[in-house]
Amino acid sequence: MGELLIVKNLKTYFKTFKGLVKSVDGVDLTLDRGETLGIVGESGGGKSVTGFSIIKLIEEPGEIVDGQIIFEGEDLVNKSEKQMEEIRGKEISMIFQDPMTALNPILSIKKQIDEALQLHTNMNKSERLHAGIELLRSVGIPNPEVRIESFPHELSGGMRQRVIIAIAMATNPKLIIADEPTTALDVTIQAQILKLMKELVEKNNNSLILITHNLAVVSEMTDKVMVMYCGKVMERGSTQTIIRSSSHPYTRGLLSSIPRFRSNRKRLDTIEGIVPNMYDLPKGCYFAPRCKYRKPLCETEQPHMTEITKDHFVYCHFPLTDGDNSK
Amino acid sequence: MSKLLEVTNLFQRFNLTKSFFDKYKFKSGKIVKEEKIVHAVNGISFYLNQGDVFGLVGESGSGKSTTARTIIRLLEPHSGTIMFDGQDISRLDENALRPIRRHMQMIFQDPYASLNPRYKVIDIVMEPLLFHNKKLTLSEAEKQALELLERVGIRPEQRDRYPHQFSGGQRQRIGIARALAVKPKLIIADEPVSALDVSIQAQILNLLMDLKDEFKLSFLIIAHDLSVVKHISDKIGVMYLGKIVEKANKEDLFSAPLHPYTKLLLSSVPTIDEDPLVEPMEIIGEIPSPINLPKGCYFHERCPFAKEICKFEMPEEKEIKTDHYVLCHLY
Amino acid sequence: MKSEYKTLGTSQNSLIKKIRSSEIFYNYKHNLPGIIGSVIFVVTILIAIIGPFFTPQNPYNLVDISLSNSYLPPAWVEGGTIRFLLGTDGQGRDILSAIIYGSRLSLFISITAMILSCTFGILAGLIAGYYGGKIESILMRITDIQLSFPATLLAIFIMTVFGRGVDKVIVALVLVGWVRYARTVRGEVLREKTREYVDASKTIGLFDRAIMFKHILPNTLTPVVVLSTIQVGTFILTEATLSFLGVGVEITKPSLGLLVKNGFDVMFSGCWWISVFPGLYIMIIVFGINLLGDFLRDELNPKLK
Repeated sequence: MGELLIVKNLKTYFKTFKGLVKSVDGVDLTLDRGETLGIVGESGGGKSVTGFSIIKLIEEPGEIVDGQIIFEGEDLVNKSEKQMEEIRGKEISMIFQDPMTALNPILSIKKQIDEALQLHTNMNKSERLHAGIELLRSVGIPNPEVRIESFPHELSGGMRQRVIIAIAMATNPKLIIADEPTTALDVTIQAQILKLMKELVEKNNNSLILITHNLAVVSEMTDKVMVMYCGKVMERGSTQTIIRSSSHPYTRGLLSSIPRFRSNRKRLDTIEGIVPNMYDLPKGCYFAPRCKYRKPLCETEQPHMTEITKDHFVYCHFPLTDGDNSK
Repeated sequence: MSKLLEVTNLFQRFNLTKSFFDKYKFKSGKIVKEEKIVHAVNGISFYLNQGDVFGLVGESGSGKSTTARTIIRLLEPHSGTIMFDGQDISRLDENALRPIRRHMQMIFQDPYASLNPRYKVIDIVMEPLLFHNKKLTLSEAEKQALELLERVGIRPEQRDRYPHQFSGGQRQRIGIARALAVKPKLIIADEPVSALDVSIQAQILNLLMDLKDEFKLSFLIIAHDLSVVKHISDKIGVMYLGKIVEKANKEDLFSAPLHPYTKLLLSSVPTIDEDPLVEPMEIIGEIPSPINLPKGCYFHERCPFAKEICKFEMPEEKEIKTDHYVLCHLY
Repeated sequence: MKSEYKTLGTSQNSLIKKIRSSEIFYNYKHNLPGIIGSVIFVVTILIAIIGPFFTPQNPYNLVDISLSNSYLPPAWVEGGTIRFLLGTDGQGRDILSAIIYGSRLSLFISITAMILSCTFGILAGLIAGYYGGKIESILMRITDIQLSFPATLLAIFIMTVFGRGVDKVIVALVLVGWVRYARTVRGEVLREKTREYVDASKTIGLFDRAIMFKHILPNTLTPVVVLSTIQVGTFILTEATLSFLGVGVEITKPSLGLLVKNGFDVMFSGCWWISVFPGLYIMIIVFGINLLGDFLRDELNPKLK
């Protein structure tokens, strides 16, 4: 089958002084080798927490309370921290959002790549240096032999993100989780970084989970998409299906609020209202208060996940089946 | 139609080596004077009529935020003039500026830092009201503030809350209410939606468009995202390393972009399933440092169409079509 | 469980309600050192305020004390009486009463000095941080110079020049203590100055004074609160040291430090209680203050939300 990652009913909850926050509340996903999955949603939707849960970087007051994360046939939920240290950075690596803070400011780039390689490979010092230089070259950093001696503050945001990608890919991990890797970057640099990531991932047949709030990015980068809202998956399926003919009002809302160059609409379509307070979620469907198609049932009862077409799942009482997003 | 804002040949720079000890350094055995100057804005000119929305677009390092802060006189320009409502405000001191400030307000980028965390939301909006209108009683000011808050979508029951109790989009709305309080003529919005989720961006942009008609405002919108300014602007200026490389009406800019950098920007924006406006361009390199400005055209190192002359000579601004200006040797 | 927290998010009228449902209180309830520290602190203040009404004698009143009661040991030692629970000193002063009165003096001096040095320090830091330039340079050089002297030494020097007395001790402590506040506040101001709400105030046209005091100052106070708690402890110790060395308060109205000195000479000849009990009490007060200060410092540290 080639299934690299199967997540079943993942639940990650946070116990805060204000109450219990169900950041991830029953998430399912599958990922094959070489596939890319986009997890999309607004801030607070649970997409980053899902990513962090898979790599088990959840700390107090958060906890994975239920579910399975089956990576290459083994359930990561049961693994100890020590066992996870073997996997993190080697089999699964993560690219974080802020290139400014993801690198240690007092260590040179050389040291930071060296550290990653030292932990997870058997190379000796000169082999590691050589590998480091080649890694920097592969992510498009000019003059890598010189640049490897630099410190993070001497590099621009785009460069730093490239270094982070290099470190993440140093051990050729089977799975890379990228949490909003380009949100902090300019548009032209964003385009470069995304192109780079796509090329690298295709070349090495890595699997990629790309977490972002920008559906347009996902449409250009991923095979599959999962849309999250308040900790629950609203819709998931292939990117083509979701972008062209999504069935969930929330996904449609997200799609239509992206400004388009060619349309001449006077006003942008928006999703009315704001994301609900996670300490006080609505009864029934979480999206109902903002949904323009809501019916009385939506406000009292939680929906079920339905399979509309093969591998296209929707969490909605009345999925939109007109099959056409272009309005 | 009188010009509300006219900026002519504006320059702005920052000296990173101001103190004596920063300037003089030891280099190969001798004491050398070395000044590090950030050339943020390098001679830009544009104007806005009453009722216009002008979008100034550029990436980090383009100087757009510095331009905004200079125009609103948080900074004094290095050279050049800023004419606001017929008056030259480029060199006025704080006391002379004070009465003018109410006509020119600003919306800031960071919804988390632009509101004082210790102020209740109602006080944030009341403060400018009370400052600029000494005759206003507290209760009148309160009434006006509540109306403004409601107009931007903040319910009156939330008046005594603090900024941290609101979402990013709501905080931005509060900032808009504060800017509107004194009924300005011009609002300068410095990246008003970049820190917000895409769906909230749409809400805020719609709000700005509604308010513009209702309050008869003019806007100068600073953004790094062309798609943001597309819906709301009448005219657009594209900035690169402190210069405006292309200036046009919105329709002209998007239907027929002239400058290679504009085309680069357009091709970089991720789109959903549309015919792209321009062919995808190979994106090489990054923006040069404003401390060491390149010779010739600032963009030549990254330009796929660069000619010999681009390496040595800065182009002159030319009007290619009516109201469509470009700074490029290709034309 | 959840209903307890429902009060959040709606407009609070009651301050008590606000505190009880706040995050600080939640963490406080689970923080033993914090609770211990604050209890100690509150109790010592209470003792200082109302203690004197319950003491068997007023040790500052020469009429009350009699030499016939001198050098009595604590009540549980042979020769002691219940009346003088912790024994008496060479003048016949009841140690327990002396501690209570002495703590009142020590706390009064320390808290007054803290308030004054806080005020001057904040003003200096605000002005230096906001205006920058020459003003900042001058003020910061003064603090640099002052900080390179050990505070206690500086205080001793000042007191030797001015002579003994409560008011002079306070002045010395303030002269020594303002520096910490100034530097802390200046650092906070430098950071707050760059934030956009300050820019917003400027674009509204507010005067500098308003921006400094109404906008920036409230946002710099968090470390000041922590510093103030710790300063009280520091001042108690400094005043104790000064008095111990004979350059602090007057002999007739001893503070805790002076009490320790009084007993020092006879400590090794058997009358240990005269120094030890006041000394222990100083320790307890400062310990409590430090615990409280630690808790506040961790709590008020702006955490990433």
